[in-house]
Amino acid sequence: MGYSVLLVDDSKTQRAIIKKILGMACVEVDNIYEAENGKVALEVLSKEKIDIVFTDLNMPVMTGEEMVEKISEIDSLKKIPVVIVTSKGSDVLKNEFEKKGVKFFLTKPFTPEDICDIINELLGE
Amino acid sequence: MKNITITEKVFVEVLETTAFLFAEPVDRHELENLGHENFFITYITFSGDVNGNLFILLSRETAHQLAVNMMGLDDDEEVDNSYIEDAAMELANMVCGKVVTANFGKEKLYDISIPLINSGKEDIFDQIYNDENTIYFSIDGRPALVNIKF
Repeated sequence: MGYSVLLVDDSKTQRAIIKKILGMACVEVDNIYEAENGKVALEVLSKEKIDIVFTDLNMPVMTGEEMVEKISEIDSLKKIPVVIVTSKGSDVLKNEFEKKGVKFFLTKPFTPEDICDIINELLGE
Repeated sequence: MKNITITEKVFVEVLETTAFLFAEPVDRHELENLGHENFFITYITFSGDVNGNLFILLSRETAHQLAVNMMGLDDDEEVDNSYIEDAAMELANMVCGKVVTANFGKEKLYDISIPLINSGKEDIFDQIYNDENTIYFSIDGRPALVNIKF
C-alpha cells in the first residue's frame, strides 16, 4: 500500500518537479494530490487521507505559513507531517516553523536524493 | 564586486542543478544588438532584514529549454506558454533566495515576493542592459542578463 502525498505550490513547474521525483521509486506513492494555495490544500485535506504534505510558503490566497497554522488547529490533521519547500535558506525561519511543529525543510534548488531522504525519514521507510 | 561574484556563481549553479543548463559569464560587448522583444523578464523583490530586487532576462529559447529540462520533458514536446513563464519565475525565486543567503547568511529573516513576468518591455530591458550591476551570460550561445540590487 503506497502513500498519499499533497503538493501545495502556486508553481506548476515546482509541483511537476516533485511529482516526477516521487515517481522515481524512492517511495511507493499511490496518490499525488495538488493544490495551488493553502486554501485549496485545506479542502483536499478535509476530503482525502494524506500521509505527507509538501508546501511552498509564498502563495496567493493563502500562504504556506497560514495553512500550517490552520492544520495545527485541526485535530484530525495536525499529525500529518508537513515539509516546507522554500528558496529561503534562513535559520530564523526554520526555528519559527520548528516551534509550530514543522521539522522538515527542503531548500530550493534540491536534488531527488534530498526529497527521498526526507520522505524515508518521515515515513520510516 | 562581492555581490556580483556571488550572484554570478549562484545563477550558474542553480541553472545547472535544476535544468542542466550551463551559463557562461561574458562581457557586455559580446551581447550587443539584442532585441528586447525576444526576452522574458522576471522580477522579484525581497524585504525584511534585507531589502532589494532581482531581474532575470532570459531569451525565449532559453526559457523554453528551462521549462523542458526542469520538468523532464522531451526536447520536441510542446510546452504551454504558462509552463515556460512559470519555470522562469521559479528560477528567479530560487536564485533570489540563494543570493540573499549567500550574501547575508542564514540569520536574516526576509520575505520573497511572488515573481512577476512580462515579455520584453523596452524600457525595462534598456534599463537592465545598461545598469552597472548587471551580469551578462551566454547559455548555449543565447544571452541572459541578471541584475540584483540591495
